[in-house]
Amino acid sequence: MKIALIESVITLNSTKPDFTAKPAHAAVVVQNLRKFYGKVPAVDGVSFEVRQGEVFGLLGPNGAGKTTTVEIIEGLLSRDEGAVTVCGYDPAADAGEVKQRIGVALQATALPDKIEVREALRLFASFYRRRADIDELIAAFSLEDKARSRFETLSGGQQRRLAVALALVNDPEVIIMDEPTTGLDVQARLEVHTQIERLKKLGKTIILTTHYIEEAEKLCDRVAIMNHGRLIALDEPRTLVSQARGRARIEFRITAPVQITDLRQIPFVESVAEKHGAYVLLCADATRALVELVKWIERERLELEDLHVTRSTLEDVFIKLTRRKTGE
Amino acid sequence: MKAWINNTVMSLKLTLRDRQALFWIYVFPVFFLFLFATVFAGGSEKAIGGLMSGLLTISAMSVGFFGLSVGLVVARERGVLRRYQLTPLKPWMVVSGEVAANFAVLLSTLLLQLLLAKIFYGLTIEGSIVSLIVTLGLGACAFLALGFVIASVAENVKTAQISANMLFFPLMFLGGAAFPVQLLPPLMKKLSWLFPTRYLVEGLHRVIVEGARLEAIVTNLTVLALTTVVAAFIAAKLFRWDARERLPVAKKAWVAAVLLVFVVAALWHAQ
Repeated sequence: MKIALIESVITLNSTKPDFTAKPAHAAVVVQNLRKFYGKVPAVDGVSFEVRQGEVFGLLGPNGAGKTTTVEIIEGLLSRDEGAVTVCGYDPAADAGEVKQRIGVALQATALPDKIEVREALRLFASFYRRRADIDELIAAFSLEDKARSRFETLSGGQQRRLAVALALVNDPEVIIMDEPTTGLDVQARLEVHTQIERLKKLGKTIILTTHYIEEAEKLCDRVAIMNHGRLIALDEPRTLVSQARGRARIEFRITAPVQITDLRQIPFVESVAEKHGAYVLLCADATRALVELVKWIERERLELEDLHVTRSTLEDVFIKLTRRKTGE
Repeated sequence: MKAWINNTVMSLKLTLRDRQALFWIYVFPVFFLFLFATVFAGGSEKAIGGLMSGLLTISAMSVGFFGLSVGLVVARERGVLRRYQLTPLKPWMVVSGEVAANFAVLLSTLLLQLLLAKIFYGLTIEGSIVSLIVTLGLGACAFLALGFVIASVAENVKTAQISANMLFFPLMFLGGAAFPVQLLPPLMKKLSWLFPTRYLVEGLHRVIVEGARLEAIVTNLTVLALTTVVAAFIAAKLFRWDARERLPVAKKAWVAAVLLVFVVAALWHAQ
């Protein structure tokens, strides 16, 4: 991570003083970013880099500093310390150039009630040097039937689709989506997921903030977890999950109560807990532990009533990491 | 520049699509014009001239205080302004587009009212058309700027509406827009110079009824112009794009600078 960062800085510096040049790998570089509200740091020394063409997830509980970080990248907020580059431009110095190159879908934005879908897309496209094909956008977001409808008549899901379509009117290099699916029903959420996957195929760089962990796991190439203004983890979702030591959970019920200490004797079982009459085993190797568990149950002449095996999820990592930092 | 024009034209279109706005901007003042002309002027040509300055001023005030101001606060509260903030369109372009659209609408309703008064009640305008347009234009600017101040200071739609109402009625009754200041007690008559409405009512009255040239009403025009500049400057300084952002109480003190314009003008008249 650190090496990648330095690399991208070198790429930045080694190019000729041509201000249109972009670093080869990083679409967005954030270095040691700090932002204070009064004396309270909202973002406290955050560094990461978003590679071109990747879907980058920013995860964290409310108030973790995700939105502040993203708003600094967008050029909406000023920063107190650190450096930020978006497509080679500093949003603090060149907000106009940054805004030309990025597309943003925020959760809490709306359009005037009386504006029609196609009108809105046309109008917003006219603010940019580079413009996407409006009819294509309308088709891509299944808004054909609604092209002449006013914003106030759209359903929540349609409004959200329009918000994402609006973020693409300038055919942006970097797309930032702040909680694009919060408050949507399952159907609408899946539609947005499909769109994000489509954009990724087109080679767009996407920054996604979310507090849905499954969403990050499903869509993101890499995930950064923020808490209290700091970055507490950054890696591929799979790696992060395996960092929870690849643990699997075996939950089962048996006909008669047993001693927890006896369960702990079973090979490959790392820890044991009892929960509402069920036993929970945590283990590194689920397959072997299962075999040993079944053997043990047979030996003890017990019968298995119920059995669940689950892999630890990003959620486990998330909870573990954020808990540790809050000292809960 | 093209982006600005596109956006301003769209603002105008959106206002004209809003039936509720159309009612308050065009129908309501015209209804009052007919009511007042029939009840108070008895349809007489001479009396109608005396009514127009007040009616036009009330119209200007309502577009500024309710149309522009509440419109901007609604846009802020719903996140429309934030959506604009994400585009390369400069913030001043967004607000000035909104002001320009409201200005166009306001000027058109003022002229419509004059036209209807001329057609139905035989209103004669003694002054020149240029003097009339300049006075109307400056008056429109002043009240739009004051509406912009309300939008900047108000926390939300509710407080914007309350502040607009709290200003609207005293300004209408004590500034000579609802009835001539001559009917007020002597002290109130002097205090009426504290109200911006007084300057516009008097300026329009002198142009429409007395045929005054612009030089003759230069004080009124100066106060209106000064109001525009000071109010627009302060409103721009205090304006917020994001409803989550709160305006510090200390900053609200800036509003006093707008009041200062009227205090100075009133003292000037008291001499």
